[in-house]
Amino acid sequence: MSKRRPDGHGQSMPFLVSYRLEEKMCLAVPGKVVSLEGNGTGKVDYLGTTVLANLSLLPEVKVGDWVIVHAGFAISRLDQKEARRTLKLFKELEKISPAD
Amino acid sequence: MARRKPSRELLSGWRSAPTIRNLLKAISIETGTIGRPLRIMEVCGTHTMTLHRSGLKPLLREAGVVMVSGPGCPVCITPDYYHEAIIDLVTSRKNILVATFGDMTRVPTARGSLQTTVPAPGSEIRIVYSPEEALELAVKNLEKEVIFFGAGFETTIPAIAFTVKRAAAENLKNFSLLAALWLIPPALQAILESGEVAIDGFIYPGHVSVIIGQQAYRFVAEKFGVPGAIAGFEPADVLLGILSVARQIRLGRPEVANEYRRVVQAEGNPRALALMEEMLEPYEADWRGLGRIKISGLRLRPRFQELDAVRKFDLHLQPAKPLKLGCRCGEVLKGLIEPVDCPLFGRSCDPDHPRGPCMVSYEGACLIEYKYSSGGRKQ
Repeated sequence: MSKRRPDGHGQSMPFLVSYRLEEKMCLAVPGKVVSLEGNGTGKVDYLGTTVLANLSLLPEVKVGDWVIVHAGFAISRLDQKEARRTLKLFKELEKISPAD
Repeated sequence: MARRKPSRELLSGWRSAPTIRNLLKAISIETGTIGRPLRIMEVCGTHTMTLHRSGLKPLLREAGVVMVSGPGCPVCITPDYYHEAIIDLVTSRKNILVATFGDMTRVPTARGSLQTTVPAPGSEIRIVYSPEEALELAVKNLEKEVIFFGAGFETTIPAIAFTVKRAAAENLKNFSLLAALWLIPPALQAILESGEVAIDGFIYPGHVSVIIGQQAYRFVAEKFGVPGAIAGFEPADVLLGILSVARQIRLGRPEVANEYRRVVQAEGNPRALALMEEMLEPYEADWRGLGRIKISGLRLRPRFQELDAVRKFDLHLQPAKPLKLGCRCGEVLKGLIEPVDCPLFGRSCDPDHPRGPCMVSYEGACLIEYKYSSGGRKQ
């Protein structure tokens, strides 16, 4: 686990393993579930940084799924099929021209 | 062969320059057909961040779209008197431990901020990143009363509800919640009903929508005839949402589009919604800037009142002194003015010396404007 200090303002926070992902803002980047740790929790990997997340709000989640984590809780699973569909749509946009 | 990991494109495809250019072009074609500039409100502070960080605001202006920031910053809309009540408690009583999110500690009030206040002996203020950390603090500090001062919208509320439910199940007597929990759809209704801001459409917050789904915004299209789209937080996501709103305007067919389908299900997150329903009840809450709005806040149901800090410590959540003169955060939250229109912005108010919550929160329109534009420099 990465143990970076959040850029708080002088408070010492020895009690938590902190990962500063723009505080508790909505994090756009999905993370990958790499292990289930029991008690409804699991490890989620963000390109090498692993955080422990509560998976209780996503009962069907499996190792290998990509999830959105907010305030320590996984709230949604990334639908890869839908993601590809949107990316395909972007490709189709290339065909648009003012002449259309 | 089964795919072992999603292609790189699945993570980076939302930022590609050709895609951004194409989307902007498609948007300008729509606005060209409509024949006037569009004013679209991005409700969520994280969308404001995306627009600024990726430099999209001026490009959108060229494409005929003016983006207006909305009330989507829970720290910003929480009235001062919540902070003042908790500051009074932690400075006057021993062995109180207030746990809250980092930016909440910096909100300036008439009684100072949680960060500058001097707690009574044995009392303290701790920053947490998740409500569950507050619960852990309660387990480890049984001699203290741990109060989680939690501010959030629908995105954060299920996590808080889960934590309180756990505290109840574990019969933890020294844990309680000061709930500053707000609901987005009633706030949108209040903005539309006030008629103060002319808005052609909404970009709905992506992760609030993860929880509440698509139907929650239907009244905006059906009752007010205002288009909208749920959007994600990557640059292409936001543009896709704007394109959808522009199309709805051109076709004269307002709806609630979901342009974040890879993450948002039409029905939301049923488990999270059930948990909110079980633990919390709606009430007429008071928002900074927007005032009292019907069924716009959530508080613990009466059967969990032992875990409600307001009841446990008899906190008086009443407006006391009027807000400090000069700070126009309330108007910024309603989309009435831009941060730069505030006379304090970049002069006596900056991220090191914030005069109001919009300059404190990472989702605050003033802080974001200050960080990403030259507007923060003294003229």
